[in-house]
Amino acid sequence: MALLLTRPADAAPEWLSDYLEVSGYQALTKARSGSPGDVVSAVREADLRGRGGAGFPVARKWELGLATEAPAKHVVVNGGEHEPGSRKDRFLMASLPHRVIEGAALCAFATGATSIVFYLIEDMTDAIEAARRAVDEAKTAGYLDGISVQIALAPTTYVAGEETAALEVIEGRKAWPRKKPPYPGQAGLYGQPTTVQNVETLAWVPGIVRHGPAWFRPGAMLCTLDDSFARPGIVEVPLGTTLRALVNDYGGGTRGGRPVKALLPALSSAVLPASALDTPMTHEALRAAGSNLGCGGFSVIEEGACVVERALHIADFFKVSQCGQCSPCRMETATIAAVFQKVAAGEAGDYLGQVEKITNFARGKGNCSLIEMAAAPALSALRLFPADFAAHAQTGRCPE
Amino acid sequence: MQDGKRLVYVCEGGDCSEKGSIDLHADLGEMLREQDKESRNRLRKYPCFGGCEHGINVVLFPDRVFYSNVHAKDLPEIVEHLVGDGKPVERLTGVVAKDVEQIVWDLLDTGF
Repeated sequence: MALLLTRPADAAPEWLSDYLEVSGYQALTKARSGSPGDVVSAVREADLRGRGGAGFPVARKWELGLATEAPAKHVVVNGGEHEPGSRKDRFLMASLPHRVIEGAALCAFATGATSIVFYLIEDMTDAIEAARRAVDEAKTAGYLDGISVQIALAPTTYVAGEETAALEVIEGRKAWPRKKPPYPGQAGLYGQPTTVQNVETLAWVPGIVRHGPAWFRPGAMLCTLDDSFARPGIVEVPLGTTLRALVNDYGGGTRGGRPVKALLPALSSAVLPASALDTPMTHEALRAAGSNLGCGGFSVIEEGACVVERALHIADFFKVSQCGQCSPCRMETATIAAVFQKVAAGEAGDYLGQVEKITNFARGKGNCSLIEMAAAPALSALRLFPADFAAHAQTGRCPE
Repeated sequence: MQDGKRLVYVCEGGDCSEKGSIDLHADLGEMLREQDKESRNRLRKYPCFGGCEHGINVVLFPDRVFYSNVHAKDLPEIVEHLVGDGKPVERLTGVVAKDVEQIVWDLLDTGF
């Protein structure tokens, strides 16, 4: 039974009257009759992790926010869902805006923040319009008393979704990630403690507070299945579900009906082979398998599809999507793309050594994690499918 | 060295191309066509040398000379070295960090 996606995907947006019918804002009312620490405890016991990609424990951010004394603190609702193939945050904001707003208000209560900024990509007009209307409804009903609310628009550039790039944009500068530390929880928006949390992450919080942590455990996440699946769309998947079940039961198998050759949990995650299909979808299990859950923007590569072409497509994406701030990132992304172009064109060379050298050089450098994000799919594809790359490097074609 | 020739790479990365590396590559090519009578050099473009803030970067291999902050006015001196027996233009060297130079040599050693 779905916990969050309780309405048909094509239903009209859930406005305040609809949300109140399903006990909306009762979690906020309940929380405000207790202490901020109770909310943090509930989130901790539920083991809610960030759904933006990093999977960072939410309670740890909120504990820091609660413990930090400051004249002003902020919550940023990060709707900078720039990962290609991920649409769940946009869907939530456009269709279930009050769940996100209540989650944000709970975060503000738990961390002592008096300002909430909704950070939404400028071309997501449905989500922006829904957020504006729902915020007005919540304000009028008194649910946001004592909290200032702003809706800030993110540029469409990929790096604008990185949490400190978001802070830069909100402050009126270009979307360049900040050097860390300090982290946003220490010195974020306008130098003040800021809890930056992904849209989906916050949407889970009202249910956890209202029903208790057991309602959520073992957890669930929204996944966006792209058109490489027979049934693309946004699905709610209990954590622990195997990747095989995700592909077959939720996605209806591959679009072409052929067996899975590889799977990508997100464009910025390491590629997983078909032999990993029985891996349960948990942060720990995916990490042990060499990848991560990412933001759940899943894509499959089916037998017969060209892994090299896919790897080149991803490398080109990162080459043009890096922000240009950090030289090692520019060099790494340009090099990986150029190496893969040579492989695809049948120009043999020490392509594995070249990608390993440049990714080793770049690792840990730069202001954000894009350096690692570009490296993960490239290195994993090279190591998992050496015959495909070798055949391309020799002949410019896939192996027979 | 390829076919006994020196490889002369001009960076075509984002910063360098914004600073005019495409034109500089063309100008250098023209000068080499006129002056490199013995065809000692082979001119190429390179995706990115990682010394973006110090571009335009030009690299000579296998000499392992890393020129930075190269402008059109520097080309006559660079070409003089490339076609003659003179020394590299020292004032354009030693600008980028050592680890950046090293990864460039490591990559060029692999043939990239």
